Amino acid sequence: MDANVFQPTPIEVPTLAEISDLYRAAVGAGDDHMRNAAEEAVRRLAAAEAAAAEAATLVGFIRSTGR
Amino acid sequence: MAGGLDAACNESSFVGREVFGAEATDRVRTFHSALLPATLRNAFRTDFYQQLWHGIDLDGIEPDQLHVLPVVGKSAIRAAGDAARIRNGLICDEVFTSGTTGTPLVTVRGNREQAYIREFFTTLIDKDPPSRWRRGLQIRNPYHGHQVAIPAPVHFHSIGIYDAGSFAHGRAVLASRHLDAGVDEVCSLLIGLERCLRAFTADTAEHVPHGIDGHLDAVVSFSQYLTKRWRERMELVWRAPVIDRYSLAELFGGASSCLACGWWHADPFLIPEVVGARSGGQLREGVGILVLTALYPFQEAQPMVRYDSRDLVEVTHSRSCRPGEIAFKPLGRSRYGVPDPESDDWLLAPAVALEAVDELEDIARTPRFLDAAQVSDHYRIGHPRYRVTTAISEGRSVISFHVQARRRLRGAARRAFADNVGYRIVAAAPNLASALDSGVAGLRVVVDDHVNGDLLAHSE
Repeated sequence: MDANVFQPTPIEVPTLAEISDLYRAAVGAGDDHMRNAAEEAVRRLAAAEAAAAEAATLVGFIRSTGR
Repeated sequence: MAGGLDAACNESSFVGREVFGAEATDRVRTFHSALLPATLRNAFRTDFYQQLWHGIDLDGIEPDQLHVLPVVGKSAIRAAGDAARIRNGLICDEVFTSGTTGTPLVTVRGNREQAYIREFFTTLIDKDPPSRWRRGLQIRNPYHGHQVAIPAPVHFHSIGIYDAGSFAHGRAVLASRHLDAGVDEVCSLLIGLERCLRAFTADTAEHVPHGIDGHLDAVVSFSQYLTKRWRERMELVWRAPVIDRYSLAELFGGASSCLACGWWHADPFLIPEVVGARSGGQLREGVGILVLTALYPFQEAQPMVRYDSRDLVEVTHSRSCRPGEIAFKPLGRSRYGVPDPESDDWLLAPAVALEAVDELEDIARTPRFLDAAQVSDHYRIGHPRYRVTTAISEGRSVISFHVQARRRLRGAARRAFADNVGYRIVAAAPNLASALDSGVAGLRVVVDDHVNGDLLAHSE
C-alpha cells in the first residue's frame, strides 16, 4: 500500500451484484426468521391481559405528571 | 403489561437456542471479510489514518483482528477535520451529530457513496420484488442536517411534530384503508424518533385510551434510549411490538432490537466490537464501550474505523438468538455512567439510572417541542432532570446524584424525595449495591433547585 499516493478514484471491491448477494445471505433474505418473530410478538401482545387497565394507568400517569 | 412482550422475550428462553443458525453467522463474517480490505485502504487515503496506523501492516487484517488498530475517538476526528476525510472529486453533504456529549460533530457523506447506497438497495428490491409495497406512517426527523435516502418498498405517509393537527391525521391514516397502486391498503409500520413517538403515543393515549385498532405489525423507534415502561406504553397504545433502532449519525448502518431474543443485532454494514472501559480489551460477555467500523463503499468520504461510539452496552456472543455472533443491548452514553475504578465493570449504567427515576411523578422534566401546538403537555414527554457525578477519594467512588424536583420541596418532603431516588437507584443497580455494602463506594442524593440533566441518547 503506497502511503504517499492520494487516490480519488474508487477502490476496487467485489461487484455490486456480488455484494448484494453476500448481504442477502448475511441477513437471511428469504428466510422467515424475522417475519415469524414479528408475528409471534404480535400474538403475544394480543394475548397480553389487562390492556385496558394498563391504558387507564397510562392516562393516570400522564395526568399526574402534567403541568 | 401483564404477560407482555418483555416477559415472553426474556433472554433465558433463548440460551443455547439457535434461531438464526451458525451458518448465517458465518455469512455475516463473509460479508465483513469481503469489504474490510477496501475499507482499510479507503481510510488509509487520509493523512489522519496514515499517521494513526503508521508502522502497522494492514494487509490481511480480518474482521476479528481489528484490535491491532487503535480505537478512534470523536475528538480526534473533529480535530483532524478534512485530514480525516476524502473529499477530492466528491460532492459532500454535512451530517450533524446531536451534541449529547458536547459540541456536535459535523461529518460528511459523499455523492458517490450515496449513489452506491441507492443502487445497492434498488438491486435488493429488484431481486426480491414484493407483490405489493408496504404502507407506513413516519414522523419526519427534523434533526441531523442531511439524511441519506434509502430506497425501500414502502410507501410512507409523513407527519411532522411541528405540523399542527398531524397527530390526528396520523391516527386517521392508521385507521383507514387507502387506494394507491401496488401498495397495501393499510398501514403496517409506524416509525419515528423516540421523542416524537413519545409525544404521539401520549396524545393518542388521551384520545384513544384503549389503544389504536389498526393494522400495525411494528413500531420502530430510533435516536434515543427507549425505557422499558415507555416501550410497554407504545405497545399498548399501538397494539404492535416495538423495534428499537440503534444508530449513529456519523456512521452508515445501525442495529435493531430483535423481536425473537430482545438483543440488538448489527447491520452487516458495520463491524461492531465491545471493549472494556478500563482495559480496552475486547469483551465477549459483559458491559463495555461499543466500537464500530463502517464498511466501504457504503461509507467513503468520512472513514470510520474502530470508532469509539462512547455508548455503553451489554454484550453477548452466546445469549442471543444468533449464538457465536456479537449482539448487544444499549445502556446509554458512557459518560453518564459510573465505572468501577478497579475493573471493566460498571457500578451504575446510565440506562439503569434513567429507568430508576423516569417514572417518578415528582421529578422535574426538561420540556420537549415547546413550540409544537399539537403537543398538549411538553413536560410529560420530557427527559427527567438529574445528573450523575463521580469523584474518586482514597480509592473509593463517591457518587453524587443531583436531581431536581417538579416543585420546590422542603424539610421532610425533600428528604423523602431524595430517599426514594436513592432507594430506586440502589435497587436497580446490583453492582452499586454491592460496592456500597463493601464500603468501596458511597452514594449521596442531592435535591437541587436546578439541574441541567444528563441526556441518555444512545445514538447521535
